[in-house]
Amino acid sequence: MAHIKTTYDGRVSAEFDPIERDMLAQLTNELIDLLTQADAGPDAAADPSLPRDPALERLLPDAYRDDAESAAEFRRFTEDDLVALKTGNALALARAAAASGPVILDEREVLPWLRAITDLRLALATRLGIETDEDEGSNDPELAPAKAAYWWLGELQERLIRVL
Amino acid sequence: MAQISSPDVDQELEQLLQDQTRRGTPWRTIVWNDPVNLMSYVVYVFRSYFGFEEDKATRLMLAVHREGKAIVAQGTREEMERHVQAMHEYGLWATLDRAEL
Repeated sequence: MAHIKTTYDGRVSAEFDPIERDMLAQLTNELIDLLTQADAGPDAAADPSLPRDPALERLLPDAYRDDAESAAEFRRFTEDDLVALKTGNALALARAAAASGPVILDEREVLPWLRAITDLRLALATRLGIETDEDEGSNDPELAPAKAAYWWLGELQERLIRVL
Repeated sequence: MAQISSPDVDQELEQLLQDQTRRGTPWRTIVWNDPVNLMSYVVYVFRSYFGFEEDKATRLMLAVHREGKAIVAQGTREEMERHVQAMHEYGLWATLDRAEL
C-alpha cells in the first residue's frame, strides 16, 4: 500500500509502489478518455436524448431532479468547466503516478487528488454495479482488477484525509 | 366613478403576487446519498467547502447516509447553483430545488 505521511513541515508525502503507479496511470487514462466523451459532438450536452455512458452520468449529474429543462440549461452553462476541472484533476494524479520516489504536496495540492480519486471510484462503482451502501461490487472474475482498484482507492483516499 | 379593476388586471395582479411569493421562497441545495463516497470524505467536503464545524459537518453527513439526503444550504437560486456545481466538482451527488410553499 502507498506510503502516505505528513512531512516535518506539515506537507503530505505520498509514495507509490511500481504496481500502484501502473494501476494509477491506467485508471487515470481511462478516466480522461471517459471525460473526453462528454465533449463528443458539438451539442451533446444540449441534447439529453443522446445516451451517455452511465459512468459519465454519475460524474456529471443533473443539477435539477424534476426539471429536465433547467437541468439541460444548467448543463449547457457549466458542463465544459466541470469536465475541464475533472480532467485537470486526473492529469495531476497521473503526473504523480509517473514519478518515482515520494511526491510532496501541500494541502491545496491534495484537493485535486481527492477529487480525482473520487471520480475514479465513481466510475469504477458504475462498472462494478455498486448501487447500495451494502453492495461490495460484482464478483465477475473479469472485474476483479477493477474491484481491487476500487477498494485500494478508497483506502488511499481515507489515508490522505487522515493526514490533512 | 370609473371601474378601475377589470378581471384581466386582477388576474395580472394575482400572478404578480404569486411570482413575488415564489421569488421570495428560498432555494435549497440537497446532497443525496451514494454508496461510493466515504463518510470521511463527505465530512471533509462539508467542512472545507461550506466551512462547517466538524459537529455540523458530521451531523449532515449522517443525515445524508441515514435518510438518503440532506439540505445543506438555502438561499437564492444563483447561490444554490454555485453550491451544486461545487458539489459536482467534489464528486458528490447534489441537486437544487425550491422549498415547498
